[in-house]
Amino acid sequence: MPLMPYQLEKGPIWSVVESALGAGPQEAYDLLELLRDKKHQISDGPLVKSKTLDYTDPKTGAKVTAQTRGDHLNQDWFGMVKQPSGTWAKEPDSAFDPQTHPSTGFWINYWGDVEEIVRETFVRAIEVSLGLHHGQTHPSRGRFRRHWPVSIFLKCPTPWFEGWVTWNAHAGEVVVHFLVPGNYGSQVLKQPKTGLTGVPGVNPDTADATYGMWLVTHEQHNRVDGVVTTDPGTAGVIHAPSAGAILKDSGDLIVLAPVETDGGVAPNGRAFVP
Amino acid sequence: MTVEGAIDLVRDDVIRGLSPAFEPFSDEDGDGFEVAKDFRDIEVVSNDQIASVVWTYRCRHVDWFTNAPPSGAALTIRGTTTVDTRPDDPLYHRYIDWLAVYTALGYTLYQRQMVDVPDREIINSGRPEERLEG
Repeated sequence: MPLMPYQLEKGPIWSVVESALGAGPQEAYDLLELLRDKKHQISDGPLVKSKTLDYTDPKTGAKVTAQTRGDHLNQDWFGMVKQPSGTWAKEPDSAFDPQTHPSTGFWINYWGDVEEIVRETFVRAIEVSLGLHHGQTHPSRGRFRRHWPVSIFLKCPTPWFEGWVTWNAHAGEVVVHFLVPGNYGSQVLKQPKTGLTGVPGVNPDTADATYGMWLVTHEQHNRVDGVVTTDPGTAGVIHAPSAGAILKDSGDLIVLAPVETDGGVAPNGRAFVP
Repeated sequence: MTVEGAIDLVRDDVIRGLSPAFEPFSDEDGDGFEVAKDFRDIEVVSNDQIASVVWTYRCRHVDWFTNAPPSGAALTIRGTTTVDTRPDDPLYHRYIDWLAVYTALGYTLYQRQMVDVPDREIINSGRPEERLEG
């Protein structure tokens, strides 16, 4: 996952997946067939190999390649462990320990079969896109009933990992949402206008680009100290805290277009290039 | 202040303060207000004027507690109270494991760190166990 300084993202990865799913009905169906095969590991598929996801981190010089993306997906997303043979395998439920090992991959305090959630979400999304019943096969050289575009978004954090497949037949589109827990080390901007890898567009006034993703928010999110629970009180007057931080927004209301590498979208998207 | 007097004061404070939302409850995990089991066999830390009592309160969540609607959950609230009897009305300094209370009521923390300026090294730092392995 990119650095994701906001709470919703599309970014380069989901842009590429959208591109691949939109390349054509046969291409989408080929991906569906791959995903339906539970022996097929998602990290072995074509999407992580897209050349448009290769880059070199300008600060560290680290190269992000199909190999590193596959490893990241297996280890951090799906909680797999590399075997001596070089293959990846999921950890058994017996590896879960609330004190020492509470997480699948890098998801904070969440244990679950993320690969299967991701797999089933995309299986369902492609079936909806192509107008197939669940599990229905498509005859070779037959005409596809339809091919709706698929949009994908990721929302972070939520308590557990889940996928949503939504559609609108009037518009002819499918929208997928992944709701995911926070991951270790993840941070979110209290001053959204600063961006992380790039300064977002501020108060855009046209929607002429092919893709768009705007955030409507206040300029500044402020954490406010709540009650000090240990302040002394008389008998029976107990100072209870709120559940979690109290946030108080300030500054102007702004509309931002985060840069793609901060989870936004490029005006023309990002193509899947095998 | 006697030892028993300190325990009675803290028991009264906990019951009065918490029972509107958390009624005392008994099961195999506890019996309402109790001195914490690790400290039942020794006297409470005290002098003539202040005393500290380590306690547990087994209870059931029956009414609104701050913004948490009644859940019916049985839980144990754990805390330490230092009671200061120097004022005419004793003052209570309470150190309660509120995080565990909210967790028992079904709440989670917001599991991302809200920052003014993100730190890329922290973001890329990986899982805690990996950092420990160094």
